[in-house]
This record gives sequence, C-alpha cells and structure tokens, in this order.
Amino acid sequence: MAPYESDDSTETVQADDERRAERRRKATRYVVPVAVMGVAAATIGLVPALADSGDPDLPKITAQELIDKIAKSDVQQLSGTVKISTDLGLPDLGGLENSLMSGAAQGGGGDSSADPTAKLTELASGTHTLRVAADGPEKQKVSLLESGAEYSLIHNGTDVWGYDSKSNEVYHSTAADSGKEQHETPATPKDFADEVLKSVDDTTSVKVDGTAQVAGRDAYRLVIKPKQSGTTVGAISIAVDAKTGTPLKFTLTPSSGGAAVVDAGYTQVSFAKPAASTFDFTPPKGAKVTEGDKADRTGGSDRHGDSGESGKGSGTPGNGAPKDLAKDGFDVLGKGWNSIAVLDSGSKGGLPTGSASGKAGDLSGFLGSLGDPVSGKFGKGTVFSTRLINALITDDGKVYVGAVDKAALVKAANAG
Amino acid sequence: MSQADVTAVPNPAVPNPAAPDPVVRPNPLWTLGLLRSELVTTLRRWRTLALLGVLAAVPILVGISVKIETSGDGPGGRDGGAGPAFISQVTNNGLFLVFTALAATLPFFLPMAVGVVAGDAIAGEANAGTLRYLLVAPAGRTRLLLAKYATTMAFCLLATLVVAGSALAVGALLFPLGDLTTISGTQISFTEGLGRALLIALVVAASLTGIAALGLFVSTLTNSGIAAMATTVGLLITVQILDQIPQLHALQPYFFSHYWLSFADLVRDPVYWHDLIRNLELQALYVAVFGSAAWARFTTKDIAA
Repeated sequence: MAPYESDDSTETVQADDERRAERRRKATRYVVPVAVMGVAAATIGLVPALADSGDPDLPKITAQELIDKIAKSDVQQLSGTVKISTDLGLPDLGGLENSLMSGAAQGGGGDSSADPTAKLTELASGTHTLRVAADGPEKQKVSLLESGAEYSLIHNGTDVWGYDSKSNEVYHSTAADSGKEQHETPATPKDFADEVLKSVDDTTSVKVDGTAQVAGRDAYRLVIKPKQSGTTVGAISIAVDAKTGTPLKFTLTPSSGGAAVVDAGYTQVSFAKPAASTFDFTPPKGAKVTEGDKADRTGGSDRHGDSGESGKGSGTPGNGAPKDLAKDGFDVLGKGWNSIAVLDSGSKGGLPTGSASGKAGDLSGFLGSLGDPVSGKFGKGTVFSTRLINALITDDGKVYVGAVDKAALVKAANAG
Repeated sequence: MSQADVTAVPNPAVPNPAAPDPVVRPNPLWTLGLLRSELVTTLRRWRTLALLGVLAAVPILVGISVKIETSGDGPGGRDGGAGPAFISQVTNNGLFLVFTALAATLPFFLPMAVGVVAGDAIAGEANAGTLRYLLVAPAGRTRLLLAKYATTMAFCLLATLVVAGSALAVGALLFPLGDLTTISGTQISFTEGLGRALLIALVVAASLTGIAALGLFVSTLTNSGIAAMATTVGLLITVQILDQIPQLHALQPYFFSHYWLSFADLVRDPVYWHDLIRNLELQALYVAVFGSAAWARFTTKDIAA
C-alpha cells in the first residue's frame, strides 16, 4: 500500500480503486478456511441423517413370530460393542456413591476393586461402553471400557477372572457348579429382552413396529407397552436382528416422557467366532490377586446374580424386581406392570423422615428433603421418586416399591 | 550449502523453450533446503533444547517415584488407580512406563512445547526482523508457511519420541520387560508391545498437529513471538478447562484436546478404534481450518518487519 497520500486527485481515485480491489482479493482467501468449516459442519450434520434415512425393507412378521424367533435364536458365538445408558433420574452422588460402594464391598468380604459386584453396579447410572464376546457356554467375556483403563470379567471353563487394569487387581473364583449362573451378564440387550419377554401377559400389548438398522444390521422393532395405567413404564422397544433373532437394542422410555431410562444397544456386532486368546487370562506379574474362597464363592456368585437381577429389575420393573422380592418373602400387591412390593421394615417410625422431630438430626432432614411428604388413610409417609421406580416409606415402617406413579402407591398403602 | 546444491542440479524448466515462465521457477529441492534450514534453526535454539530436556525428564521422574513407592511392600495398595493412566501396571512391565509418560505429558507438557514452537514460527521471525529476509528468497510465502508447519510437525514427532524413548530407557533399567498384559487382560508378545508403543507415539504426535496449526495461525496474526506463544498456550489451558465442565458436553467433542487420551485404546485387545479415529479426524479438521486460515492471513499480510 502507498504509505503517503498523493495530492493529485485522479491518482488518489486510482489508488483507492486499486486498494479496494486488493482488499477484495485478500478477503477471498479467507473463503478457504470458512468453506472448510462449512463443509465440516455440513458433514457432521448431514451424514448421520443420511445414514438414518433408510429403514430396511424386511418381510412382514407378526409379534408372536418375532418372539418365537428370539426364543429359538441360538447364537453361540458373538462379539461386539454395547453402549448402555441409564438415566434413572437419581442425583449424581459421584464420589459418595463410590465410597458407599467400597464400603459395601468390604462388608461383603471382597476387598478387591476387581470384585465383579462393585464393578457391575456402576452400570446403574451414566453411559458406559462395554465389549462382549462369547464362544459357547464355556467362554464369555465382558469388558467395561473406562478412560485409559478397562475392567474385564472373563469366564473360561471353570475359571472366572475379574481384572481391573486401573488398580491392577485380579479377582478369581472357580465356578465349576455356579458357572451357568455366572456367565449371565445383565448388560447385553438380549438379557434385558429375555427378562421382559418372560413376563409378557394379558396386561401387555406387543406389536411389531417397522424396522430399523442397528450396528449395520437389519432389525425388526418390537414394541411392548403396558395396557394398564398408573405405571411409570411408557414403552419398551427391542430391535431384533432379522437374520439371527438376537436382540440388538433395548430401549425403555418412561411414561413421563423424556430421555430413555435404559438404552442398551450394540454399536458394533459380529457373529464370527472370537479369537481364542480373547478368553485366556493369566494374572500379570505384580498384580494383587483376590481369591474368592469356597464360602465366598457362592456368596460372590449370588451377589453377582443379585446385582444382575437388580440391574434387570430396574430395567423391567413390575416384573423382575417384585417377583424376586416375593421370592424372598415379601408381599406383592397388584399384578403385571402395576405390581407393588411391600416390605415391612418392622420398626415403628422406622425411617426418619422430614416430618419426624428434629431429634433425628441432619440425616433425617437430608433424607426428607430428597422425598415428598404424603399423607392418607394409612397415616403419613414420604415418597422417594426416580424416573422409573417410586417408593413410599410410611411412618410406621412399611415400604411400598414399584414402577408405578405416586397416586398408585398411596392407593396401595391406603388399601393395605 | 543449499545454494550450491540448487545451482548444481540442472533446472528442467530452464532449457525447455516452451516453458511459459522460465524466470521465477524455484527448483523443487528449494523447499527441502528451506525445510532443512528451518529445522536446523529451530532445533539449535536453546529454548527448544530446554523444552526437550524437560520432556525427557518427566519419565525419569515418574519411573523413579514408582520404583521408590513400590520397592517396599509389594505392588499397588488400595489407592491404585490414582495418577496418570497405566501407572499401576508399570511395575509389571517397564513398557507401560512409555504409556504412562505419554499420558502424563500429553495433557500439558507436550502441547505447551508445541505451542511455543508453533507460536514462535512466524511471529518470532517478524519480531526479530528476519521475516522479510526470508521472503526475499524466491520461495514464496506459501512455501515458507509450509516449511514452517512441517518443522512444527517434525517437532511434534521429535518431542513425542523423546518422551517415549526416555521412558523406554528408564522402564528397561528399573522394571522387568517381557510379554505384555493388555488392559483387556490378554497377553501380547514384547515385540508386539513395542510395535504398539511406536504406534501410540505416532498417534500422540498426530494428536498435536491440531494445536500446531492453531499456534501457526495465531503466529501469523501478531508480530510478537511472546504474544503468539502466550495466546496458544492460553488457548490450550482454556480448552482443557472447558473440557472438564459437564454443562458443555455438547461442545466438548469438537475441542481439539477432547480425544487426546484415546491413544490408550491402542492398549486394548482388540483395539477400540472409535475414539482414535474421531481424534485423527478432528485433528485433520483443525489442521485444514487453521492451516488455511494461516495461509489466508500470511499470504495477504503486510510484512513490515
């Protein structure tokens, strides 16, 4: 650019024109980065939309045929990645939850962070990525991917290994007899689907609702809806692989709307035989190995089973959870989706609630603040609610739990 | 020296009578000469050597402290899991020190070093008044910018390899080597482990190309080398902090540092590629956007100094 203005007017005009042209030429260069950004934004926005657009064209099938297909499906070899998100609407307790968890684990005798119980309970909240691999009934592996670390649970023949790479700890138990129970992992869409389909009865409507693409495979969508009102379960949708009948995706939406409470689906799946080395495990040098001894082993497997059941229970309320409770000697009111489990904690004035006197101190205030006080013919109580499970704790120590709304709980308490 | 090389090699464009523009057509080797002189200048700076020295010291520090910590009473303890990724496996296998050292330096030390070198690339020359002399040579601004960026990328790779090499040496001295247990619990041979370590070093170096392009762009905006370095490192810290704020989770996948630690997925068996590929795509995007922005700025800029 000319550093000094000339006095000559025509020259100035010319110089101005040149300068303007120059500036335009310069400005056009900035089009390149802007264009790159635009293309990137368009790609990010459009590619998922384009990928979603084509629902596969599959032959029509009835709901009953599809359920039979799931039941008959005999997939022995599978490997894949599962993404599981749970949003129960619980407050995020973060570290507190962990310390409670480790306390519980210590109480149970397993002082290892590689203990499966503690690890699998982590799935109850947040989003997790899991890897699953299976080769027949004798070899299974589930890995929970964490940032820079991984927790693996490997079942190979009679051995069950838990390896937590973050703390470098190993949990080992020999599961000669309880093996069949142990390999059942509560995390895959199939596990959730099995639980739900077990309890399909006249209180439930089941239909096939079109098709979908899951993990690059064509699938039917099976939608299960409770016919009764009063339950917090809105709908359950299961995507079933058209070829193998394997459930690929499980979604549970609450009746209150909003995000799914449980959403577990394969993001990648293969029905080829996984490499044999996947299931080999030798504790690395220097790792701390915790042996589940004989007594602890059954305890361990039971605890594992429990965590599985409770995981499923939270996914399929009104079915799994109350039934299990009933097994343990609790009463179940109602049927189908509106089942309510009743526990008697036995202690009058049992759980301190907000309405209890100030003597109970800060804790009661804290608990009370989490719940809503209610009253009815039964007396007074507090309702603790999540997006799926609600619980009513009365002042005389009775606990009503179910996947039903608040009004249904109060009604049950009034009747009982 | 490069001048002599250039004249010694016959320029194919000159003898050709049909060549449209026989005068200003620099030999392709000129670029290499430019790159070489850039590399030598950058690497001979005391500042660069000091940065590399600090980077090499990190694995030594980590290795010795892990050794002291665990020499007494067996491995780990209940608090295992604190500290950078993989630190509890270092005692099993010295190769894990490479991964630990990279995980420890990637969030801050490495990008800071890259930010210093990238921020200094153009602005430092302008500051010292040497930029116009560089432009007098018939290389052209685009070529000079490419040479500068190539130098910065070479530094990314060199810095990563310095960390990895130092960690490997310390790991081999202080801890046992041998077959490697991946974090998925499977075993791989030591050779394959070494291969993965090299792959990880390359991925880490590639993770730094985004901030290198960003630093180069900032460097073309100002004539003060210090300001460019400070801005780049400041941006790095800001993004690292924003990446920790849960309310911003919708934006976080677009932060250049968001997938940095995904290199750890290479130690899984089988490798989990999802985040790794995301990381590389994101870095390529940053390079494209800020590289072209730097080009637009530098080729139209008035060089006063």
